[in-house]
Amino acid sequence: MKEETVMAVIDGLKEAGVNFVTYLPDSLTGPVFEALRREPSFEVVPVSNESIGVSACVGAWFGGKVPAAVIPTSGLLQSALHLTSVCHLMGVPIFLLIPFRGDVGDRGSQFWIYTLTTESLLRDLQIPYKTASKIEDVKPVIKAAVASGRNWLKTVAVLLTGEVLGIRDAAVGGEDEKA
Amino acid sequence: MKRHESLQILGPKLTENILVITGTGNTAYQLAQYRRPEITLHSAQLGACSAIAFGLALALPNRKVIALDGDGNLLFNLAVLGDIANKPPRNLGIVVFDNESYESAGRLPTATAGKVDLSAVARACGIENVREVRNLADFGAAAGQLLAVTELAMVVAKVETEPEYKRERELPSVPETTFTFARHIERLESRRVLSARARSQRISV
Repeated sequence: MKEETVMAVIDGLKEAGVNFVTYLPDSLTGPVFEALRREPSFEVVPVSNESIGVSACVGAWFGGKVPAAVIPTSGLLQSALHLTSVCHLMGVPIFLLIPFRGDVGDRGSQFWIYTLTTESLLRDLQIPYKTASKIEDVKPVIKAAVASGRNWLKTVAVLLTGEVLGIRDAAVGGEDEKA
Repeated sequence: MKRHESLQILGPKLTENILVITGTGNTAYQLAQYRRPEITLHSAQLGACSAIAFGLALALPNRKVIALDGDGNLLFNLAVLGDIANKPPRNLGIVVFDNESYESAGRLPTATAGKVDLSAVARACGIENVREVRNLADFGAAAGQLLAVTELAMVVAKVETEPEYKRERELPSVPETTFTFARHIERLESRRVLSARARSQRISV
């Protein structure tokens, strides 16, 4: 992930008031977690699967925290049960930050499957979401999504596209994945 | 030992200043004899009970948090034990009522009816204070210790199924409990949960 994207994510979360973050890293988000760990304002909780992260966020919300779960596209599928049976059922708002692997332009051959599932799953789960496809959008979109979720008492998501992740095919203006 | 017998011991000790999470099964109904159900988060679905308690305990490190989990519920998301052990809240206690069955689904066996030993799993995950108990005297001692210590602790209570148990009352609905549980925490902690709104009315994106 681009350094400026990492900084925009961290600044966006901080300025949105997020102070509790669960994560299971994927190939792109490692630098985000390293940056989160350096920030004392975040309680950073590594988890072994995303549903644990979602439910831990629910507990943290009851404790007065503003929680966020950083979830890979594959993990969105994994966490669907607890997003439904815990977040929705209880009416607890958490913020989901999703690096959107499998968006058109992503050349990772194993990721195309998630273009079939990611946005359609968010719609089926009735989770409002915004997509950030420019680095300058990352911070305001995160702040807006967190604010809406807190006031609506609804889980809200932000997708980060390949342009901001730094994996977009060069033919459409980004750079190739370095990993 | 039956679960309702063990709750006769533990339930009265779960005073209102302790935060309690349960699954969706009979535990919550039996606990309601000793504790107002409005202040117990009683609707943690499969795999969520200990995970929710984990997040709550981290958020409120000076408040005792107790998860009343079950073998089927915990087995669904067993990795939570490792995550809890790696970031152990000193204020979290987990009681697992292990009746070796999916009782509400017709008492079909769970994996603990076979070879799985939850206390051994918890120790292997790194939870050091774990006790398995099989009678009421040992349960009472273990539950007392669980409530008294200032470290992560877990009790696996091997209990019989209770096919004769009939739910005597309804519990508040899930959305209602979200509000009453959150309000209870607001009162205990003098902090905002439900009313913690973001300040901006509109953010342009």
